[in-house]
Amino acid sequence: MIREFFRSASGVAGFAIILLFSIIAIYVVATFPLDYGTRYWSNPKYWEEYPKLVPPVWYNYFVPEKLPQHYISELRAPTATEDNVKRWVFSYNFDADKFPTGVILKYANLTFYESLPIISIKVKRPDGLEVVLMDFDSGIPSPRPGESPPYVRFVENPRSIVLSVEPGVVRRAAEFARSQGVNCTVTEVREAVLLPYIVFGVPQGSRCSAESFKPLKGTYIFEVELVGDPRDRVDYVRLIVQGAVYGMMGTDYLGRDLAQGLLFGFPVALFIGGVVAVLATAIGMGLGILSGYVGGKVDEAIQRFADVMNNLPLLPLLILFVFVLGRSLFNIIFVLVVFGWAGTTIIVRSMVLSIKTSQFVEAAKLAGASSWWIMWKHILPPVLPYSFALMILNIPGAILSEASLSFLGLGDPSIPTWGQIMQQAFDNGALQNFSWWWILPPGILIVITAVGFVLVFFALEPIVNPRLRRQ
Amino acid sequence: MASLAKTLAIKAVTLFLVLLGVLVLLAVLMGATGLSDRLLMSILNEQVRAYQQQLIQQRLPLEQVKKAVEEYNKTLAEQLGINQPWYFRMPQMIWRLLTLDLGESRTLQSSWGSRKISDLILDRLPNTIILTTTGIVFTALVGIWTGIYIGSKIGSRADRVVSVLSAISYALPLWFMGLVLVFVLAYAPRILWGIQIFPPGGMVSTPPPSEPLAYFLDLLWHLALPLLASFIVFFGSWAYTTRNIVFNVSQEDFVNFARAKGLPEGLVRRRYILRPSLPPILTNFVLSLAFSISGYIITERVFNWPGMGSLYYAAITALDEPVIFALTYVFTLVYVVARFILEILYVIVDPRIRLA
Repeated sequence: MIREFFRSASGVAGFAIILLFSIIAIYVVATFPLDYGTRYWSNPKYWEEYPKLVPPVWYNYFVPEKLPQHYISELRAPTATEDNVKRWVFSYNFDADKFPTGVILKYANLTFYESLPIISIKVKRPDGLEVVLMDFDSGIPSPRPGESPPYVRFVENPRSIVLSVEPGVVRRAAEFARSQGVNCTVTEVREAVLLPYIVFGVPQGSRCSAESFKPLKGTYIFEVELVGDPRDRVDYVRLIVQGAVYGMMGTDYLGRDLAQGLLFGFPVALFIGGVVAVLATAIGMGLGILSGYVGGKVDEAIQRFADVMNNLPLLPLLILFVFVLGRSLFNIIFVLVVFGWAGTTIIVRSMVLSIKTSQFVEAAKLAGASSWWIMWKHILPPVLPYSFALMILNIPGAILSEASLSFLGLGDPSIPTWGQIMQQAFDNGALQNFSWWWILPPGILIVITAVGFVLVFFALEPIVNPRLRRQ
Repeated sequence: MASLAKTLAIKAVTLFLVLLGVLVLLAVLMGATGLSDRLLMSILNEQVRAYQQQLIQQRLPLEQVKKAVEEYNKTLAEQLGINQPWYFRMPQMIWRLLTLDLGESRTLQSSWGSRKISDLILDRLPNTIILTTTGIVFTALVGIWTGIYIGSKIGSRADRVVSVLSAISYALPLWFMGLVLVFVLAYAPRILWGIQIFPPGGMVSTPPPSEPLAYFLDLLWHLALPLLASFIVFFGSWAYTTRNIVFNVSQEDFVNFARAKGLPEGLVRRRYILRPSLPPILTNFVLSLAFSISGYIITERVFNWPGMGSLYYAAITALDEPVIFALTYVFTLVYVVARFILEILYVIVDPRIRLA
């Protein structure tokens, strides 16, 4: 039977897809924390450093103009210490044809003894110009009355300065732009997020817009200075130049690494599909055997009920139920099972009707076997193979239903699923922004998963369906 | 003939019970979870607050206001039925629906501003019918024709292609296909080359063309992508199902017998294979038409199509309970009616049922 299965091309292809996806799912379960959804995925703070809405890294191979990579550098010890001045020096090599999307400075565990330390940042450009972006950090809380040195700041949450929105920095950048002949007001720089263009570009015109700047390639030296008491220190200083490409799958509007979200979708999809299919098939098979074997009123009742369940406008009811019961994984699985068992029952019953008249059942009856025994020992085994095939077919059905619900915004908000990624993409203008890396991959994964199971079913059906076999 | 009438009557009763069952299920779902009470309460509170504001602005004495508000609260609660528990309130609602009194929506309005649910449906139903019926009729005709053709050529290359297409049919949701088409054929050309090949959604351009012919062409232009998506997704399953039905019939003894009698192949196909294949094909066709009224919720959303599906989704997100109820009822009603029409059609097309 197994050899027969693997002789069909669709069986091999389907099996390969399912095997690959299962391996990925197991890898994800082993390496990701189970509360990944709530702890990281739905936590915008975690994705702060990531560039927002940028295509994957490999996009650069297909476009003539190179987009800058994401750059993160962290220094623990100061590069140079003179007296009461500590200096951290970052060197960023900019060789792309487009601009980075932002610059972020981070530090943590600031410890100071006397007055507030002065933390500044300046950049030396390849053309020799030097820009002071920030004279001092105004976001450090002063010592509270009664607090004694050493004063420690930014322990739990590191200090994070997003340069393109920090008022002092924006003012400095606008001044620099004006000194270069571009008429920019502070508001314009802040609202159009022009800081990366001003810092990494040479002006071509005097209009204050992104188009007025051309990238200036070369090595940029960022110097972060801390001036204060000689004992003042920070644990680390981190400089992030947000690229315009990121990772294997790009990022979404919150800067989330889509590769992670898509990976987490593997076990979730297989889990939902598997659990729903197993439960729905088990219920459907049990009722089908009961209905077919016992017959009479029981049969009539079960078949009528199954007929009703099988013939309802499914999608509106699924939507309504999940909406009323609440958007949780458990409710979604529950509703899919409740509306998913009827088809199996009807098919299994018709199989049982023909098995019931066979001689081994008659013999068992004559030997005095109880109905339960016969159903368990003589009816169930011949029904199992085909039920298994039906179960395989139910898996993609459940996965697609979950994706549909998620796409309508009815997915479990604590778990990232492919359908939800698509929904967020659709609702946040991925079509209008042409963010193909955001909206297409989750859908393609959904379809590939479903195709895998359907192919396996197609290969299984002629083997396990006695009727097709005879032909 | 008497037995035939009896069978039809039994079918009618069963289908009516389905209808009733769905309504009861809905009533229990909305009632037992407390959703219905919560909704009515919020409406009640809102209206009472508005009334109170109005009285206070008239500068009536505080005592009098308090009394009037209490009175109003009581009459309104009675009007809304919130003074009764849900299992008393719901049967009335079910009865009204069964007598086709759909009532009024809470917030949603039709395009001409009416809050009557029958107007809402009249507003949207034609749009859905334009969208789904054209797609299904077109796809089904091509698919059935292909299936009949392939049914006599089992194992050919065309047959293998169709079985692969049917697998895709099952695994590819219509809404995703629609999304891909909108993305690739509507947005991509506009963003990359600045030309609008297909519209990114909607049913007609804004503002719609005033000339009838121009309007019709504009509608066709907007229909193109949904039709294409529906064809790609459903063609395989139509062809494959039809092929199976035709193949199964052509294995029957009476077909062999007809051939053995020396009847011409054309006649065998028409009379001995296609005629008995008709009822199940017809079933597929009528049921998919009936389901399409409710089954395009997500697709309508993707194409921004102002149909029944969009209305249902809007009703759910706006928590418009009467509309949710009425629409679910209408969806089931359409389906049940379609099932009954089928039963009658069987009698017409299948002499085996008529004469049994």
